[in-house]
Amino acid sequence: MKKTLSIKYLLMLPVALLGIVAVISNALAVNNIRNVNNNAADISDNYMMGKSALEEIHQDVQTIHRLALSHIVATDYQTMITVVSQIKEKEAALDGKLEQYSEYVTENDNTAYQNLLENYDSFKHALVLLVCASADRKTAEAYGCANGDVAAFGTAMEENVNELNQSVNQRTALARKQLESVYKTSMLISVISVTICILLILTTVVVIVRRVVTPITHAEKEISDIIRDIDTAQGDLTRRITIVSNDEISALGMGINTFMEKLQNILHVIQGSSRKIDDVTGEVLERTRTSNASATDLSALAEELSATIQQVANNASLINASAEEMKRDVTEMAEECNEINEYSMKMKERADTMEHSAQTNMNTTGAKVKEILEVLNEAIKESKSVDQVNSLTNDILEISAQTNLLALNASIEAARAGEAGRGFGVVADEIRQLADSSRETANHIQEINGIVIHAVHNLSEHAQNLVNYMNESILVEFREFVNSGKQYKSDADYIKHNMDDFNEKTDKLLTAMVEIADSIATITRAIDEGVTGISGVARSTQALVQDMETITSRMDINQEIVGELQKETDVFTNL
Amino acid sequence: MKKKWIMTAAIIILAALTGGCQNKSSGSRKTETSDNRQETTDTKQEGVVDLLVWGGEEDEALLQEMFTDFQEAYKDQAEFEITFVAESESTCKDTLMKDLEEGADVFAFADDQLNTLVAAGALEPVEQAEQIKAANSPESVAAASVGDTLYAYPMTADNGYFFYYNKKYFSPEDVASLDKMLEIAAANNKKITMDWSSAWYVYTFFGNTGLEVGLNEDGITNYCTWNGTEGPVKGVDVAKAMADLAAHPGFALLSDSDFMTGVQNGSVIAGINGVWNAVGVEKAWGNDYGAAKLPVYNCGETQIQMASFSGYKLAGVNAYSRHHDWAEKLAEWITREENQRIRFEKRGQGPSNIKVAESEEIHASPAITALLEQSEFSCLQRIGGNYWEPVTEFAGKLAEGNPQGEDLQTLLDKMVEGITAQ
Repeated sequence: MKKTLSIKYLLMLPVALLGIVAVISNALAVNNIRNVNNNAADISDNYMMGKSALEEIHQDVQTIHRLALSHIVATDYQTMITVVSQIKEKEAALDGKLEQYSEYVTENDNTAYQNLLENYDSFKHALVLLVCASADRKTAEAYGCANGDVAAFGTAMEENVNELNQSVNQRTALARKQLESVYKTSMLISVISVTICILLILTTVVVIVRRVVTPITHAEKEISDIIRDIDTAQGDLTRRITIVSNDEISALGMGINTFMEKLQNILHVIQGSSRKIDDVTGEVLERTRTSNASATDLSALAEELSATIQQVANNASLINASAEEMKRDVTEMAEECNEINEYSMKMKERADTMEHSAQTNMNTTGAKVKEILEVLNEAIKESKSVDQVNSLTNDILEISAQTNLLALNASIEAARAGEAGRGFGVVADEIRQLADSSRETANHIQEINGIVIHAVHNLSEHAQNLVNYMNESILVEFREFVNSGKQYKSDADYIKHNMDDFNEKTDKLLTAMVEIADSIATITRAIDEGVTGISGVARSTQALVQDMETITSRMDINQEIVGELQKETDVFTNL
Repeated sequence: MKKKWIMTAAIIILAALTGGCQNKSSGSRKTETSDNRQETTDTKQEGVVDLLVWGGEEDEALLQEMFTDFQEAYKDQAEFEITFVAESESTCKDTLMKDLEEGADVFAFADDQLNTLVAAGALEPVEQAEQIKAANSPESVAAASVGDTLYAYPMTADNGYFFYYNKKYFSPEDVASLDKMLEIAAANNKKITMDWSSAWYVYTFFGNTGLEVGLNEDGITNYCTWNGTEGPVKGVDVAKAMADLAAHPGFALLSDSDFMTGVQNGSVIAGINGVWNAVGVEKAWGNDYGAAKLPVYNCGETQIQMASFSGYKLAGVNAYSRHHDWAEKLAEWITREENQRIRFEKRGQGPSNIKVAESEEIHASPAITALLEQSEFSCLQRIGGNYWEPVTEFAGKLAEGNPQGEDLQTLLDKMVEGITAQ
């Protein structure tokens, strides 16, 4: 095969040229557009807008002039105020416009522009004079100003505007000429670009048809023939596409041929492999059916075992329940035992307290009795002094008897003395009465003293009886009470000792019962787990049976696929 | 790789060609505008602030003090050159209308000139209007406003007239009657004076007669019935009373400055004048200084209470001032509360500022008290420009004793014709 130019270069060359021409053409077009834009912008931004600005300036001057005249003809101040404020607004706007217009002024126009500004200043000054005269009702003066300076400077401004306008017109005409020249150049460049592009496109089309389209069409026809044969079950994988050149298209054809060769080999392998699979599948099917029967037996056995274990689990649960109940009873017994033990401790404490209390009481009572006895004996001894009262009253009785006698003698003596002893007689009589009274009192004391002595003797006797009673009865009882307390304490100690032993044994019993209950619970859980495990085995066996059935059905599908593969390779008469 | 390189190069070329041509013109134009603006601002900040102020000649010293305080207050913000030129408040408008652009930056004027000045565009609305309105009496604010728009700064509320009298010659009862005063003046070979060269004072004879003069709704033209031939008082009665008065030996027609000269030399013992001369008169007469409302005068067979025009003095800012903001500040300064108080203390002028007007010192001033008593018989001066000349001419002829012997009714008709001219 002769060596020809690569299709890649054949196609890329005209396309690249086309691209370069397009880029250059576009660059030139952009440049031209920029020129056009600049010229157009000059015309529209500078010349047209400048023209428009000049027109506005002209209009504003005329408007201000008109407003000034309307100020003169105004018949009231309110209108004048309105007009003057309108004039000022217009002037402010015109100031701005004139300042803005400086952007459009070229060196050539500068003189005319400066004249315009100067005339505008004079125009404004004349306007102020006009408005002042008008407001001051100097109408004639105002009209004179309107027709004089205001009109003159307005006209001068108009001339300045016209001058600037003409300049703008000249520059606009020049810009238009430049625009036309740019347009013609652009057109020429565009025609050349289009011609080159057309030539390049034709070259590209010829190359594509000769080197791409024709070989591809030929190869496509041969591939269609091969496919058609396969469709009619006359497939021939030994056929190949004709290779006519040595480029990318022929490389594609060779690739297709290589692919067909590989496909031919693959189908050979598939045919052989499918036969082997068919054999293996038959064998697997046979063995699966056998395994399926065994798994079914295993499943039934597992279910039976599961039921038996379940029964054991139920029995273990019953034992567990009984052990729990026994554990609760023992726990209750231990709690009650603890309560009795605590009670016996309290009882012992009370016995101690009682014994101590009895001993203390006995000691206290003994001491008190002793003290009372001492006091009582002293009192009885002292009460004997009452007996002295009798001897004393006897002394008094004797004294009163002697006194009475003395008084009697005195009264006798007084009587003897007559009138001189009358006073003495009265005294003697009084002394006698006093002696009588002392005697009566002493007698009375003796009577009462007798009663007191009797009472003291009685009291002494009863006190002695009481002391005897306390010594003989109460203190004895106290001693017995102390002995009872000691006995009670001893009994309490005995009960507590026994209850401690009993409590210890009950605790041991409780611990043993807890261990038994825990062991039974562990056994029950183990049995339950065994039941779950056996149930799982039964389910797994069941699943195994189902899987075996699935494998069987899949093996059937395998056999179907092998049949289909066989059918597919059968369409090739020549493989 | 080659393809990618070509694409990248093409994009860069296109971007350079298209993007490069967009920014040039707009960018340069913006910079130009910004530069221009900066230039303008710099120009404004440069130079000395020179301000021209017009005010009454008699107020010069007072105003100079205020200028000094003003410059001191704003010395950190600008350097000032404030020039005072004497210009009577009554003639301010006329002078200003001759060349507004070269007129004073700040000027004092009588409130009756306001309409003309606003109509001429000489005054712009006051920027701090609410503050000014709150500080000054509603009447003075109304006098400085057209409609609801405030155009000037109220400065005084005393632009009226009343009687000054020398207590050495007159008792308080004497000054209730013009005839009585004339008798006393004649007997003492002294004079009672008025100024008929100003139509402002002539109104005093017609004001309370039932004859009318005033401004039409257009704000320009006048109506006038001073030549009336019917009613209890006729125009001729007033004219005759004026002629009799002019011929009285105890009466003299003197201008404002001549009045002060007469007061000082003792030839004048009473006169109709305003508060602007209060300090001068008091200085001349000392303890004999007195002021009272206008008396009654004999008109035909009726005693008529003499009337007066009342008005306000205002400070205006020239709309064409080159330093308009500073001119506004200065106008506000010379009319603020402190300066109205100083104005009263030094010049005896009645304040429009509410706080100053309420002070005890104001109520203790005889001139202000007289003005307040006269206010019952006065009316706000709102009269068209055609009023002044015919009235001055009419009064002038009567002052001269009507030398050509013209019929008084004819003189009156001619005056009214002039006043009501369109």
